[in-house]
Amino acid sequence: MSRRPAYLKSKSGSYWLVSALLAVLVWLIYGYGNDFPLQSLVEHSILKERHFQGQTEELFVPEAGLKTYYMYEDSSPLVAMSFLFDKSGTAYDPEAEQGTAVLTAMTLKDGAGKFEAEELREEMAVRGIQIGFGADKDMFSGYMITPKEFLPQATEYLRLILTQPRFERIYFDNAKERVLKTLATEKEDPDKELSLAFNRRIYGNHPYGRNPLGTATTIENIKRSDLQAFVRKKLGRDNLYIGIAGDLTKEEAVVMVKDIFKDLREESESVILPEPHIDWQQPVLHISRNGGQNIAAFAAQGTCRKCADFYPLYIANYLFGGAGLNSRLNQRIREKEGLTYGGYSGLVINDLSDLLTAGFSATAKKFGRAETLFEKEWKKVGQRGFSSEELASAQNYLTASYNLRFASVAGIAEMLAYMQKYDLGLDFLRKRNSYVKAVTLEQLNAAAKKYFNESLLQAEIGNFGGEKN
Amino acid sequence: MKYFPVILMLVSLCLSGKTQAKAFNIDSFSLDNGLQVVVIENHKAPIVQQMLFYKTGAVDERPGKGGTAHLLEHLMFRGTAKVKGQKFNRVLEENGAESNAFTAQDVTAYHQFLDISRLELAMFLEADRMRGLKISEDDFATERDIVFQERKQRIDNDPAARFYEMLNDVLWQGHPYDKPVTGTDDEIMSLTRQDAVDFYKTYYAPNNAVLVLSGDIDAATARQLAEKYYGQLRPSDIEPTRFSDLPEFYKAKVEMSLPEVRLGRLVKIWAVPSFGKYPEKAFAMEVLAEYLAGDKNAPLYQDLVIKRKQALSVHVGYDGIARSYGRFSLGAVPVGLPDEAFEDVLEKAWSRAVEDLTSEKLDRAKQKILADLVYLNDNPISLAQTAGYWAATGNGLDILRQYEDGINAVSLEAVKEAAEQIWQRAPQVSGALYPEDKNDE
Repeated sequence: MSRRPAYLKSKSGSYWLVSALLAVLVWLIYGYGNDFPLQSLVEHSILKERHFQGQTEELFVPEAGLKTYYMYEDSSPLVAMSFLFDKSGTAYDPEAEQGTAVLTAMTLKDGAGKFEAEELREEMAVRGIQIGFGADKDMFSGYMITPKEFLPQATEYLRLILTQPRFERIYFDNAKERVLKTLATEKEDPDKELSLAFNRRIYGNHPYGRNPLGTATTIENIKRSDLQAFVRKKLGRDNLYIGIAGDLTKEEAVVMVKDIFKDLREESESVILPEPHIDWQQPVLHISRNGGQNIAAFAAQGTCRKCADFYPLYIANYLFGGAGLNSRLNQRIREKEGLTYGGYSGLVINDLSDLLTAGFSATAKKFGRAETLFEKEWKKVGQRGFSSEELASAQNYLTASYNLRFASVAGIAEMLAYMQKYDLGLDFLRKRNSYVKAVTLEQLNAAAKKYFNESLLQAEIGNFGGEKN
Repeated sequence: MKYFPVILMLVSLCLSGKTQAKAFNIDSFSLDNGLQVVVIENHKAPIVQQMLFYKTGAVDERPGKGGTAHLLEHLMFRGTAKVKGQKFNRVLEENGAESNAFTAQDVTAYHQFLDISRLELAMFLEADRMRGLKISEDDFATERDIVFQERKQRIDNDPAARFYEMLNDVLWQGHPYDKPVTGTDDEIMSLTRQDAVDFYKTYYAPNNAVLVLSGDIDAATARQLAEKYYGQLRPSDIEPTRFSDLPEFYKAKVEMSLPEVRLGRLVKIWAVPSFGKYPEKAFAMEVLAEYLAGDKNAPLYQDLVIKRKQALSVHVGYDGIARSYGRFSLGAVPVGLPDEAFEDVLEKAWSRAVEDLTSEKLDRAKQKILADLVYLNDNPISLAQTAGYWAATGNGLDILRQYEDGINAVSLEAVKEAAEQIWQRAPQVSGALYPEDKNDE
């Protein structure tokens, strides 16, 4: 085998020879002995940058008074749909029946119309049809993904599930039992214990502060008729966002939407929730517990998806703790001193409250040092912001990773639904990289100063040796 | 794993390591230096998953050196002669890549998910660190602290993880599978830089690796680039690790109670054949697992959870993609305690389910497995992980390619025989996890 350098081993010899000479020249100018000029590998790659071909289209379904975002994608014979119902999440459960949304999500496909639960499950399983539901603070959501050949069957099953659910008693009782057991066991996991307690601390008595599963008492209160009422009243056509992607025509998509959703009520019944009032001056919440590591969690004011600060804060968060090992936080507490397996930060977007959150975990011995460094890094962002190199590197990552979002049809369908929920516009996917690139250093550092401030709530769980309990 | 945000459900992926023969596009060839290259075309988007699997994991560590493979995996991100310090992470980030790695008992894998226009960069970097790693004493000490913290986070903060570690220890006693991938606390802190260097020099070579490229790339281009970036790496002489045979049959018992535990569990794990050695048996076990507890209609769920209300949930799994034995497992959360009476209940439910198996029920179980195969071709990452794991554990891509035929060929007798072999003749451990105050109740 030839021992020539890799970049000379190619059939298109002269092109590569020129490229190689150029690379050597760059290397010499760059400084012999310095790192390899890696970016030239991208510039000279035979695999050129390409745009994802999929187009977002808006389809109207007049018979149902609905519209949907749609993307044709035929690389696999699959159809995916994602749908969201506004103002129907766990925060909207009645006070005495907290847990209704989650219980509904757990049992909604346990029988529908003429199909008993077992029969419906079997019909779907042998065809590879997947239908599922979930609930977050704000929304009740669902998805359907099916091999293209079974689209008519999948459509019919989902229609029946949303309009004639049976909530068969045996599965309803079983789901309640499981929720009660889960509530009793949530404290096995220190992360879970901390996040539930911290959520209560942040939001107090506001419904955002609830355990999404409810409480033992409220679960006992919930009857099957409550779940029937939930579906009938809260899942309407006026609070619905739909995203569809896959191997189906526009006409097929329109028929599917009409068939599945046309019998939902026109206007959903929803309550108006007040915005939560957060006391940002509350002291640190300490929870005592023995375990391998102590865990810290932090929360500060965030910004909404459509707010002017969104992209600047998005980038600030990325640089502080969102960028994995390269983030400032991980560079400091993990890569340099090995105090932790990792820290993180993130943006939480909800209808009534937005947060900037962060956290890390470390053994009791290292925890204090990690905590000090965390506070230092947080303050440094607020006081001094970021450099233009850091901004450029974040923009490079966020734009170069753009195409990764199109890896699966289910992911695309979900993205299309959320684009409508957040009112990002039909052209969002085409414009998204320009939004990221438009952020200036001034905007970034203004956001850093505004959000990385002293109003930072903190909670921790672990063994604090008595001094902090 | 290098860092925690990406949690690969590797075992469950492999449990559902299914793929559709007709719509299944896996190409495979070897370079002269022994590197096996697997190419999976998926042209949905201009993106690609590169995975480099080394056929080396925790099982290859020397006695008392537990955690070496995993610590080395971390050190692989700390720089080479050409790409110094943290440049590897920086440059991949600036090019929009999602980069990570994981260590298992059988294999170690490095992967990047990125835009197709950046693939050559990732290939250069991955090839470069196969032979060019530099490990400084400082980096070694820091990274050893980090993997120690990782163990504390993943194992010590999770009672279920400590329980499973104990079950593995008891089931595999004397076999290399008995060790935790992370190593124990003491082992981690006693590792030296030289241990990592020795392990690296022994096992990191093209003839001990499988390269997977899955995404918007054709086989010809993949071959050209694999040759260009990996082709000149020199192979090594590698002495394969020998796996001892377990005694033919034994039945071990573990009882554990932990203060954090609020909910009892009963788990049984059996050492069973893998796909590579006994494909027919493996396919029968795959079908058996689906039949017994693949969904809520499955007989164990219907019997234990719905009809008798003695369990809150029940799970059956088969993982047959391994260098040595496969694993068959049965786990349940009892309504009461995970005691012997409950174990008896489980055994009776198992026997009833196996007795009730008819060819019609068998066909439905097969149909359910095959119906989901189409999803493996959706996201380029799924099939890359599955195919890479099959190839790197020596289970043969041909068996994977013929997965559909393998499932269809399973007979009623083979499934009943598999069920009997598992329960009656396979080395096994039965574990009960109790809340610590069980005696006070």
